[in-house]
Amino acid sequence: VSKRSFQNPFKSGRRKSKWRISIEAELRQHRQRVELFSALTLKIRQSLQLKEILQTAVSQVQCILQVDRVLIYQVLPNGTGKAISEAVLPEYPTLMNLEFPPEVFPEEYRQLYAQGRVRAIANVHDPSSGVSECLVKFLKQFGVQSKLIVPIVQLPVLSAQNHLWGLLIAHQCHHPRQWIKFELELMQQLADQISIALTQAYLLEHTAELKAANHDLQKEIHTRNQAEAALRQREEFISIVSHELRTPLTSIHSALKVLATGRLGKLSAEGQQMLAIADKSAERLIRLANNVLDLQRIESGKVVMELQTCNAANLMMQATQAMQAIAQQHKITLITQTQDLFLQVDPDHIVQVLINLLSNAIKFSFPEGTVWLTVELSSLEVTFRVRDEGQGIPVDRLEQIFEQFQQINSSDSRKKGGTGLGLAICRKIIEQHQGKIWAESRPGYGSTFAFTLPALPHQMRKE
Amino acid sequence: MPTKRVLIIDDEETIQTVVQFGIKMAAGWEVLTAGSGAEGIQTAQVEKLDVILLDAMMPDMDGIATLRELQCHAETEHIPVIFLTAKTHTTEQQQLYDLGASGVITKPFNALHLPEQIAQILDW
Repeated sequence: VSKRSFQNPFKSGRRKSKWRISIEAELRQHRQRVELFSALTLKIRQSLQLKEILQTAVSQVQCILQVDRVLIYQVLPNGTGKAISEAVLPEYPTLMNLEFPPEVFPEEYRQLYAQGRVRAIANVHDPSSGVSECLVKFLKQFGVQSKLIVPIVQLPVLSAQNHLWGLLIAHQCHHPRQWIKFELELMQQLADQISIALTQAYLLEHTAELKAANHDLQKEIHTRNQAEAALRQREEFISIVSHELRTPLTSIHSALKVLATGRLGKLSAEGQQMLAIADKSAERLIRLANNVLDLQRIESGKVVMELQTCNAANLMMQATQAMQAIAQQHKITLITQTQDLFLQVDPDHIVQVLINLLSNAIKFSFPEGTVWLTVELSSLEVTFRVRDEGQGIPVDRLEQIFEQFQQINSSDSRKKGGTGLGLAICRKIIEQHQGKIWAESRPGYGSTFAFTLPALPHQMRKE
Repeated sequence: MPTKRVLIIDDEETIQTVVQFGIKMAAGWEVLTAGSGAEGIQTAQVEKLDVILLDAMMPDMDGIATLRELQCHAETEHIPVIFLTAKTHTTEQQQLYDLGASGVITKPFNALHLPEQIAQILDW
């Protein structure tokens, strides 16, 4: 019989041989296994929902292995873990979302599983099975007799080394069960598929994160571009206005000067007074147009400081000479105490700052007052000081006056013919030299405006 | 200083007028006016001139184009040209010198001071 069957094993006979039954069962199992994998793979490809994938895995395993319970246990960072997916026969309790106490799953178990250990326990109550006592107790609550455990390891793509993400566990409750090789292999291969699904889900999530980050960045770039464009537009506008002002200002200024000669007809005293007001205002407008342009050019970086080695004494003398006539006009004594100190600066701009500070000091001094211009070297810095004996500045305004259009009060601005931009320009110039500028004052006794510039490391001797 | 003949080329009539008044009043020089580059070139070709004051920014033919045109004609190439410009930056002004300008006067200026400035630039 056995020979005949061997010759024609698939021919249907009246009696199926034992051997044939086992072949058929094996084929069926094999087909189921293939189906399970194709179903799972499909699921993994179709669905990026990890929950769905895990649920499919446990139901399929439960069905194929004919076990009482299959669950996926996720290891939590605190050392405990819980069942996050489960397929269980209705007569047995569910373990879903039940957090396993840490003592049933100690660190050494985790390490063994992370290294790929697979455990097949035929009878948890058999002392030779090596299941810890507390785990046996724990399993007893749920009627577990046999169990099969394979690790779900996170691939090294996601972490430096294999990391135990969780376990795929099959429970037999009705009776103890001897596990066979095929069952172990199936569980292992499934755990690998889940591991791939985890990687995929992780990558997807991070792709989404990256996409979101990218989107945010794009938005920010767009906003910044817009802001920059607006700033450029504003700069251009200021520049155009300042330039456009110059032509009509030339006409006004020149026409007034021509009128003032008196050669087109003598004006009455009142007429001359009106003319003087117009003339003074035109000059202030010219200064304003110049200052607005200056400030804008320095702020936008269009003016580059042309650094060269300069002697502080020369810069101070240039500024003093430029202001001497005005000081005399205001009956102010201008005292300049120079020193030969060497600096790496843009001389025109530093002289501009000195002139501006001297001009302020003279304007805000009382007649017969004195204005001092001094210089001093400390280890790293050269400090220039312009001191006056004027009315002083309230302490709370000492910072503000360096802002644009921040004179102490607007009547000062009108009386003194300032533009409200002088100190703002000074600050920009000094900052571009890596220096500091500030004001000190004793109201009623006068003010001191000081600025520092980096000193050249080796102060050259005067030749 | 002997009397001079000046041509002012500027699209702004008020500038033409104040320059004319200022120069006449301050130095007694004769001032001819032109409202565009093209008109200025025409005038320069037929009039005997000592200097041309040329506005840098004009519609249609700007100061630079006008200067180039003046340099192309035998009748006008020798006439010194001084630019009047609202551009204050040194690099912008340097460009005008590089093109062959004899001088640059920055707006706003006082027309009464022009003869003095011109004489200084041209070493009169």
